[in-house]
Amino acid sequence: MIAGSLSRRHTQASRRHKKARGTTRWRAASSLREGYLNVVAGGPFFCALLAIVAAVTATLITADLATVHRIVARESAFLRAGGDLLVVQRANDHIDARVCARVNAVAGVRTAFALSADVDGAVLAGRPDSHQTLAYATEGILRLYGLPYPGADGVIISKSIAERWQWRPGAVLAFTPSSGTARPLPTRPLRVAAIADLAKLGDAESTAILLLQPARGNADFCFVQIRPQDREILRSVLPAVFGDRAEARIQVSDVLPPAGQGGDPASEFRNRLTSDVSLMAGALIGLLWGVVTWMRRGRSALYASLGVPYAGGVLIRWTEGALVIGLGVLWGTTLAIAVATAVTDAAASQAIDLGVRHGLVAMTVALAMVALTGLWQPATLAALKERQ
Amino acid sequence: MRLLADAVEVRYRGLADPVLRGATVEVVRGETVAVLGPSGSGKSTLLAVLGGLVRPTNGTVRVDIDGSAAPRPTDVTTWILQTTNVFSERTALDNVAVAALTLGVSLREAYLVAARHLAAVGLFDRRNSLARHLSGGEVQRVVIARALASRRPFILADEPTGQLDHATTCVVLDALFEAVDESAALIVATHDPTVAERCERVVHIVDGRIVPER
Ligand SMILES: Nc1ncnc2c1ncn2[C@@H]1O[C@H](COP(=O)(O)OP(=O)(O)OP(=O)(O)O)[C@@H](O)[C@H]1O
Ligand SMILES: [Mg+2]
Repeated sequence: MIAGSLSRRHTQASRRHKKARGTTRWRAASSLREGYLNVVAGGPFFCALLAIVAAVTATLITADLATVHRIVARESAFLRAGGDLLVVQRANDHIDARVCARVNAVAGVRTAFALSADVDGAVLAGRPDSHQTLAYATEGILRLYGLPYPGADGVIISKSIAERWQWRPGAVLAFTPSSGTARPLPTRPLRVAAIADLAKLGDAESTAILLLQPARGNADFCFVQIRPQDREILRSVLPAVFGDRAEARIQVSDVLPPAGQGGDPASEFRNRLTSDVSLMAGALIGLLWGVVTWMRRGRSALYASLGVPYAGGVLIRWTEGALVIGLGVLWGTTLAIAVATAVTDAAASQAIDLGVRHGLVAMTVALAMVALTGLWQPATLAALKERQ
Repeated sequence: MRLLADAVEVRYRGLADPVLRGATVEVVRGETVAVLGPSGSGKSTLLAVLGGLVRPTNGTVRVDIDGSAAPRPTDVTTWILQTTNVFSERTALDNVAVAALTLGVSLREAYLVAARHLAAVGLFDRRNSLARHLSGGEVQRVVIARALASRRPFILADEPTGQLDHATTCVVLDALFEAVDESAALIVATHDPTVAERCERVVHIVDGRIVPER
């Protein structure tokens, strides 16, 4: 029978076994195995703990991802509306369009273009009562709107004009000069090359038809699209570029006042309340594990009373903690990133980048606390007797 | 190898009188000793002191080996407690194998040894049951198998058969006494005269004092 063959093998095993009598030679591998088996055996309890750890991690990290998403979304809406535009003008005088074109070479400048408006500068051919504002810009404006070169007879029209006349790209139009025309008008037929949000350049431009103009002569304004982080330095540099003179000062102003946006996004990002959520998550989870360790002290005492050395017991507790806490934080972080990208349509790379950093911090803090609590071993007899 | 308690006094915090009053006991490897006495007389405390789990207020507990460095009492003793004390979510086999693993043997060997000791206490068929599914008496037999698997020279058994019926008591005691006949000592605190009869020596303890006999 089984018993017969078993007992023969057991006799061999036990002969070797007997040599070891009275000494403790617990292996590290046994600790890893015990820790793993305890987690598996503790099924429902550890599943619940894993879920709590994941929920805490996911909730806190999601809170910060949502906050950052709000800040970033508000900032990009601000920039889209013209928040990254500076406008340069000279008091009671014109600026030089050629100088404006040269600003493109300044570090921190994304694009720069000269702009002039000719209010009611033309009448549309075939519509005698239309008073049409014309705008003239140098080609740097194409980079602001991300447009290709429109061709010699191409014009860019504002959204409201496109709506009013029902024009689409490709529509053909022609001007007849009006009484107030300040510049020579092209007399050939023109073609609508693109429709753009010209309103952010100013009120006059919101109903304008825009024509490209070579960079020479005078212009009313120079628009400068900047990298937001270079705003201050460019504000101080630009007057010198244009030649600031006492009798005709160069004024540099924001197209949109940043103060109207509820503060500077960079400092809002730095000072947000949720920036330390991962520390909190890690600490909370570490404390939770501390409670679990205390609840399981009888088990630690039992291992010790069986002859598992202190280091072996520590390694068992570390294995259990690393498995449950590690998996829980990993799960929670993944969940937070998935939720943030799915629900807030945030750029995935931004959510992943910040989420992973939060996850790493939470993991480090939680595992450090697991490591610390694992060092604690209860007084053996007290813990064993509590089971009575 | 001898396990010695020399003029041991134990006071628990909150108790006016000491629980052990100058108890002196010497147990030599290979012998079996029964500790008899009324409830509350200090039997469990004496075992705890011998096993190094309770530090005596006065007196000493030590291990004597001829000519070599003496190990601590905790390193040469193993427990069979008055109350069952097992990893309840683990199998009977796992519980016993942990004790064998403390000897540094391979996993395979530890499980073979564990199976043999479970067979010796009549639990071979239940080896894969979770400890929490076993009856009180079966758990107590797992604990005995575990103590045997640890191969420690001194087995401290605190009422090991307290929860067993007569037939099971015989099976368990056979296993226990067979294991200790050559190389281990058994110190058993008990109220059961049949246990005491099988021991070579009986130590009576009354009110924390030891009254040697036989
Ligand atoms: N940790 C402790 N703290 C305070 N008092 C204790 C503690 N452990 C035991 N005692 C007391 O010490 C006395 C002796 O206890 P012990 O457990 O040694 O008795 P026992 O002889 O084993 O009794 P029983 O036969 O009922 O098991 C009892 O009065 C008990 O209440
Ligand atoms: Mg007792």
